[in-house]
Amino acid sequence: MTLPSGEYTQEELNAFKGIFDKYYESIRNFAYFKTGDIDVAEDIVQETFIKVWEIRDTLVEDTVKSLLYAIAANSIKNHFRHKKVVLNFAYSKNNESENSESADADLQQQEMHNKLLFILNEMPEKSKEVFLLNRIEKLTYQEIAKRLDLSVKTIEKRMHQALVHIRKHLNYKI
Amino acid sequence: MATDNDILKQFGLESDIEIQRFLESVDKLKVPVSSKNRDEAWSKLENSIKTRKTKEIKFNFKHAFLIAASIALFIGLWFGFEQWNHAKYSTSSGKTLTFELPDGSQVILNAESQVNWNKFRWKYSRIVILKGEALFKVNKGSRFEVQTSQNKVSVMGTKFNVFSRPGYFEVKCYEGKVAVDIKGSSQVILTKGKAIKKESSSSTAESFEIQESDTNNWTKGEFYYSNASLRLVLDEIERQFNVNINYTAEDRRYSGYFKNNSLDSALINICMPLGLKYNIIRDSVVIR
Repeated sequence: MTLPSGEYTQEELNAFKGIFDKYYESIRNFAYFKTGDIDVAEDIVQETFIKVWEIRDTLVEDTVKSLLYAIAANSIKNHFRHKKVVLNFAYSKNNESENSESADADLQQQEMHNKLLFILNEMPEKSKEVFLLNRIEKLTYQEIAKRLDLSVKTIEKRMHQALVHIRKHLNYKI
Repeated sequence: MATDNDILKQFGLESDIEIQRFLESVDKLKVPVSSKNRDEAWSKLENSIKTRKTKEIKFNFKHAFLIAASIALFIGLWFGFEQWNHAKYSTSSGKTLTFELPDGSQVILNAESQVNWNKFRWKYSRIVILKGEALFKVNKGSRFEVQTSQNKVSVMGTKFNVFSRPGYFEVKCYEGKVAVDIKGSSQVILTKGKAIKKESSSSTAESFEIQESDTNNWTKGEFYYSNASLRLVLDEIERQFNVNINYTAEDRRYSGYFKNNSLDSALINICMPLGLKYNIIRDSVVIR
């Protein structure tokens, strides 16, 4: 028996908040990697969790994480059917080298940053997603595999493609 | 956390300085700061959940409206299509009409009668719908069907007369074979010279022989009756002469005939043998 989705108990809401607190940031960052727009990423998060809320009766602890990623990925697909995603990580000055280096070094870093964004944006979608989850979200292959409902082998393959892509583009001087 | 070396070693790139530096830079990237933090995001979500019920009703209304609109449109189109697809012939009082169906079969419509058919479906099945009375001369071919409000007449190619009006149903077969399906009883096959009738007041249909003098006379303007309900005869007078007949006494049986060229002589033919008197006042006839 499912209640009409307008009715719920406080326990349900509390349990749901637990899930939200645990995965909010992961899903938002994941959405950001795939959309390149933090505001859109926030909307995706809302959409994703609402959808999960609607099927709260069928949720299973083990699968909720991969379910969230799957729903988010789907929402993103619907939002960006034909649009090319452009990531725009803000350039953050490297604090460690700040005092020791000249203004020139800063410029070089800025240049490096632009080159990096360019390479990332040119990276095939599936490799990029895995690559960023690994490098920025600091997730292991196993964790990524679990979240995306893929095999570890597939994750390794995509990581390799990402590195091949980077290697290829580093050869061109900007 | 996977370190640079792990990943590079795995793919044999551990001595590649450039790619190492690249990865180091990537590791320093931060997802941009969002316009809201987790608590704000939760408040927004919680708010959506709480207002969900009303939202859903609105959503359903919109859907219901769309569904209703689609259904209405579909029905509209369907009726339009049906209308456009329908061929119809009809006659008013005192008129008969002869016309041909698409297969060349001939139909003679008596007064206040109507025949229609679906032009599209005609290609697959010869079905006409009859209200009133008509004589059919059907060309040979596939099954030909006459549907009336209650009963069904089907043939292969023949000449027959169907009378279907309130109170009385009758089929006369002049040529070939006719199958008659009267509601509530089993199918009857009429051969040449045979006929069947059913009055609404009786529960069973009655077979009878067509008299030799009866050669679908109504098409020539002659109406023959044998032990018929007077009311039905008077109904026919009304249709043929476009008059109103006021007859309130009990129904009687009539045998005889009238012609549709003169109201006066027709009324004499009917009233004389039954000992009735009539009075014609413009379009009305009072019979006592």
